[in-house]
Amino acid sequence: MSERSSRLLGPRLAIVVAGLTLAALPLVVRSDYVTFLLTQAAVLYLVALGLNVLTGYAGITSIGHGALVTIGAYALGIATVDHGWPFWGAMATSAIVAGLCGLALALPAFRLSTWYFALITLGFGSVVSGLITELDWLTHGFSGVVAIPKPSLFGMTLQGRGLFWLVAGTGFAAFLVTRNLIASRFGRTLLAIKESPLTATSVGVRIGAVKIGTFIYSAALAGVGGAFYATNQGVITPDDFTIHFSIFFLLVIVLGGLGSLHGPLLGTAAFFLLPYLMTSLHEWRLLIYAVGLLVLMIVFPQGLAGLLALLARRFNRKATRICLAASRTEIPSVEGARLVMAAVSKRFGGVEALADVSLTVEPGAIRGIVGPNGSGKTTLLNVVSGYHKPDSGRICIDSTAVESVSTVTLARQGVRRTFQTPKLIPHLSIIENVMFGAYSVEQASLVAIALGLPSARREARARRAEAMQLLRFVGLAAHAETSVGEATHGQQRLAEIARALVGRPRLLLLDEPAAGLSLTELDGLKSVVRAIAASGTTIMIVEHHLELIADLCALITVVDRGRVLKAGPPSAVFADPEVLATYMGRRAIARQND
Amino acid sequence: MGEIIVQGVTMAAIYALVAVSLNIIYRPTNIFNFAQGDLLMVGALLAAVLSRGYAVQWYAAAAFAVGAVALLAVIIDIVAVAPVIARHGEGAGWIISTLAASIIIHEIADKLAGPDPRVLSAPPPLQTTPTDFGAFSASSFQLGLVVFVCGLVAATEMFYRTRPGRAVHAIAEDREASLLRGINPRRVTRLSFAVGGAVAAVAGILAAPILFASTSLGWLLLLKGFLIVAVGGIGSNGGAILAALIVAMIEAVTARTLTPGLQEAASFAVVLAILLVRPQGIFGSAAGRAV
Repeated sequence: MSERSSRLLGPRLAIVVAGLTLAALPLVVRSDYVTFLLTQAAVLYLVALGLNVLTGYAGITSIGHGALVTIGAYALGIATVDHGWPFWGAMATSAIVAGLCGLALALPAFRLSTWYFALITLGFGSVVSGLITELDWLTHGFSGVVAIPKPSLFGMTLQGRGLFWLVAGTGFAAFLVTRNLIASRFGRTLLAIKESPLTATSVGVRIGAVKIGTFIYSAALAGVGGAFYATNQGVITPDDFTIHFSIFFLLVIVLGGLGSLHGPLLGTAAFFLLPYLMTSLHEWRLLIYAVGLLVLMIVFPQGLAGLLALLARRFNRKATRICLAASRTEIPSVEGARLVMAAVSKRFGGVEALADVSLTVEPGAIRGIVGPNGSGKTTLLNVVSGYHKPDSGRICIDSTAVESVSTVTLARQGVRRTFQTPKLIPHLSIIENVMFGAYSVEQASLVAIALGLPSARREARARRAEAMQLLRFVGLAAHAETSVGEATHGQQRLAEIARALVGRPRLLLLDEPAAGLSLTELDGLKSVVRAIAASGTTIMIVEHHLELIADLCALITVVDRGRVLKAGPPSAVFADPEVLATYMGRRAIARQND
Repeated sequence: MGEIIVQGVTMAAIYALVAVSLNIIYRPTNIFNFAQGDLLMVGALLAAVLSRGYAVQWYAAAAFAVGAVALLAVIIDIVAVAPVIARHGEGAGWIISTLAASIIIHEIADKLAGPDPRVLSAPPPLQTTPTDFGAFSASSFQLGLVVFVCGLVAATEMFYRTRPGRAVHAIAEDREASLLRGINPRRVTRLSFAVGGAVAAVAGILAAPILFASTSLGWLLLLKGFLIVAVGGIGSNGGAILAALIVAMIEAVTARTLTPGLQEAASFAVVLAILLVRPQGIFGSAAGRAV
């Protein structure tokens, strides 16, 4: 308990101290102008925070975030000044309108490469700045919206310090929500979207929905930022919102450190410490931003947060905590699925990857699939797990017809797989990667996670315990906190199997699990696979290591050029002259017989 | 009617040229160079400043501009693209680094040349004054432009069928595997940047007699070029021609009814709608899955 509380207390204490320091700032400076600038910095922070979730974590670059701020600012200005709305209603409108714009941009973009989105946001920025001057009946054109009111709370008008506390408080709350989300399955999903989308699909993530949600969250924060911007300035004109604005936000998060929780704060602070850059060098501002962006991207893409982390590591070498409980534990039993493939064919252009393949795997059995390179083994796994649709034939997993459901649905129904080369999320630790496997079975809602409710925290603890148990099961408990980048190839393979097990698979597909393993690791793999099958899970294993297959499987299937060559017990199949000929060539066999 | 068609086809030729220059860099690298518009703008400005209207000087100025921009494109590769690809591999750090390069070039050009548009004449002996052909009237420059773009696209497509052309595709597919086949991906990338830069400069020089040479030409045509490759399918030059015709015709038709700001918003909305239905563009092929 004491260890856990000290681990949690450190960051929490730091956050409380940071919050109190921020709150005390305007009491210390006592200058209206500096308070105004501090409020401005808090606005920038709010926008940068949302942009960092989108660009830093999910890897989706937005060059139009300034336009979303513009929309938020104008929505507030028009609603309060021209229509006499109260501030709070107008601010909600800012968030909603900006969020809707985010949705409109995201809908076509979420199926495309990230650079499409970058250009779409660039075009969006250009369109918005054109429309702001064009639609002068709405936006007052170049004369702008003037006399934007300050918000009031309990009959008190918030200005100066009060406004700063409101904006900084909102920024603080947004930070806490963002932090909770990033530490949850949603945060892991964002990293998976950036680094390895296939991994996300394999554990049952609907990538599109998560991407759209992220866009909307980030856009709504920009909208709220715009509303605060407008009220702090009091006047908004088209000149406030040039392309500089969008580039500026990018620079803040790149400077702070892309994909780092504290990056936006560091970036904003760095900019605030250089206030003269904003005024005296006005003419050269954009050029300086751009040179800064380029130099950072080339020389130090981790930004200030990366620099601090580097220093912290140098001064504070943490002793790796070693879990000695390496004894193997049991995993809960499941009801294995029955797999039936009937006359399945799949072509890629002129290549017949699968031709008329039929096979049945009984629940709880381990079926080995062997065959030379390019014989269609991986395609076989891909059609069973739904990554490819077969051209003809039927595949049934229990009563589910694979052709008619999506990969994600299959993963959620307990069809899990590993990949030929382990696909783990590089920036996470082994245990966090394993926890990602629980994506589709986790129950805590978005709101519960965002607010850090006890139910969400309880579940997070339970998931961690479950992941730990599975790591113990595969023999990786000692390496739970190792980052993927430092893990050996063998450890990565076992971690991927552990991740697949979190989904409580009824059918587990292993794609060459033994490739690149050492002899001791092979023994470990063998007993792990046996124990998984003993728990009830049906296993299909594609492998080149014939001894392993012969040891593990009661029945094996040999495929060659997309066709089933032979099926049966290993002893019979490996003695078959046709199989031998496929593996060693006819001439080699003839020579052997001579 | 005839006027709308001539106007549309002329703009389509310019847009297609921009799209082709984007595709040339995209094919071996899978990178969309955000600084492409600024390369084009620098080409147009250099040619406009150097040429004085005489035939020899025009071609000398154009040749110098094309060479200088090709060099600039290679510098972008060396400074902003190669180090980022080397470090991040498949990541999208190049979006930010080429965007930064774009702003740097734009800002420096703005400081040196000022925002005022400059005149660049059509390549002699072609003229921008229209001749009446009965049903429609077109200038000799417009006719020459269309013929030139068609020829360039045909030549580019023919190149990609040759052995070095196939090497470009091999690199796009797998940079490391192409090394095993004796192709040097860095050299091909650098060459593609040079050629893509040269074509961008040509696009700028040929756009200038119609749109004028100014620092705002860059982002304007970059965004048009993006709309074209998004609709036509990135990497497809045939698709680029058809998409350029579609976009330019929509613009020519709406030019009379909508103000410029609304026109931009309208064509943006149309492209978003097309991408919603066909994310890979009208002529692009869906990417294969990599398991």
